[in-house]
Amino acid sequence: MRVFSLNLIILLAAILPVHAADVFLEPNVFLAEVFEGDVPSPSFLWLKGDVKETAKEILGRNMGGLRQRYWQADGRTVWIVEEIGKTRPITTGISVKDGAVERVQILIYRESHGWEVRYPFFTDQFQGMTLDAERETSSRVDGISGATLSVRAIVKLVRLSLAFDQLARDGS
Amino acid sequence: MVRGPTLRRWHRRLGIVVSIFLLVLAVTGILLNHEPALNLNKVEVRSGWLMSLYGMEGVTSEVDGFDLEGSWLVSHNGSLYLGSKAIGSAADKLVGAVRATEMIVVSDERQIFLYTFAGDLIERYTPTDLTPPFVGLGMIAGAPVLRTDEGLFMADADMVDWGRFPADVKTYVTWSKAQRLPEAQRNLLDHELRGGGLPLYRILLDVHSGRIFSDFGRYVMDAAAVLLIVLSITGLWIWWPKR
Repeated sequence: MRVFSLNLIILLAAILPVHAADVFLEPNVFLAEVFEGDVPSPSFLWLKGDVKETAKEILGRNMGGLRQRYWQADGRTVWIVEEIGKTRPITTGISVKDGAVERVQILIYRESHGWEVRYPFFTDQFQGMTLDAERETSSRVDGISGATLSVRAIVKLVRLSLAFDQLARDGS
Repeated sequence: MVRGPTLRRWHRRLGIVVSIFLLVLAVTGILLNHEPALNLNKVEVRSGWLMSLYGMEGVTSEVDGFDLEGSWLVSHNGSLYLGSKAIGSAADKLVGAVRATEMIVVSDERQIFLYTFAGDLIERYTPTDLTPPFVGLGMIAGAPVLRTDEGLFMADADMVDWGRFPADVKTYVTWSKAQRLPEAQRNLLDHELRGGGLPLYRILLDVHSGRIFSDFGRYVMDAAAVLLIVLSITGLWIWWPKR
């Protein structure tokens, strides 16, 4: 009976969707990986004027806060940003090198559905993407059935990071 | 055909039942008819159970908060409040909140939130020089101190970097602790959560139509209206002179 109960618990754990916050990669580990252990001190992009307007245009809402921190070295900027998928924020690390996406990594996922966005089959497609004149991604992003809101949130964060990268390099 | 005495008996019974609804309809109808003069749209009702009936839930349980020398920082259903002002959201459980020299510093288990004293967000970030979970937030000489499983860390003045802090001074740190929200603060928060109150005009209109008890109330009022029609017909039938 006890073995049966244990098996049942294991089976349920395997088939039930993820509900709690899942840390796929700690932000400090992500930074260490991107900068190969030599993480620079953070810089700040001040959220005012054009920067604030750009963020609002991409996110479709006012981005809270007065400053956004990022890490910059060797032609690369790295952003740890959040956007709500359906009800809870998805923390994402995005590395931009020479104006193009180098790496997208889902760091902390708190939604109950749509966690498929964490897998490389989804995140790898952003590699090399840039921003076009309309501040859209330079190529089409393939969605995931059943994870529409999470996909939309990640696309927004990628566009935001690319736009912030431009603004940071322009010295905003 | 129903005979006269039987009809009269049922007519009386129906009359008693319907009279209650008729009273409600008549009183609310007269009041609604004179809404502009009575200014019913401006009269706000803030009754707890009535607002709950409309889905306007306030503080439903005991709430803990952090005392920031006069104002309280509270997390309720994932939202953060400074006093009664909504100032953002926290995804994880709050660890502490302190009033530093330049700003208010709040910590959950993974993130730091920096606010101006007016409650405007300066920055919300994950300190990448620390390993979560954060288990305590305190103050020493006006500077915030964060405690993790790896030890104590103190931020620089701009809250950019966190540096290791000697563990042997931890007895001098005043740790932020959650406390039960005082009644007055709880009422303030409840007021904020429920909004400005319900206009009396809307309540009367919903009582008049039965919508105050959602679909069930609407059907009850429909049934009362049908009974009134039946009552009118039976009344006319009884009154009508027979050959």
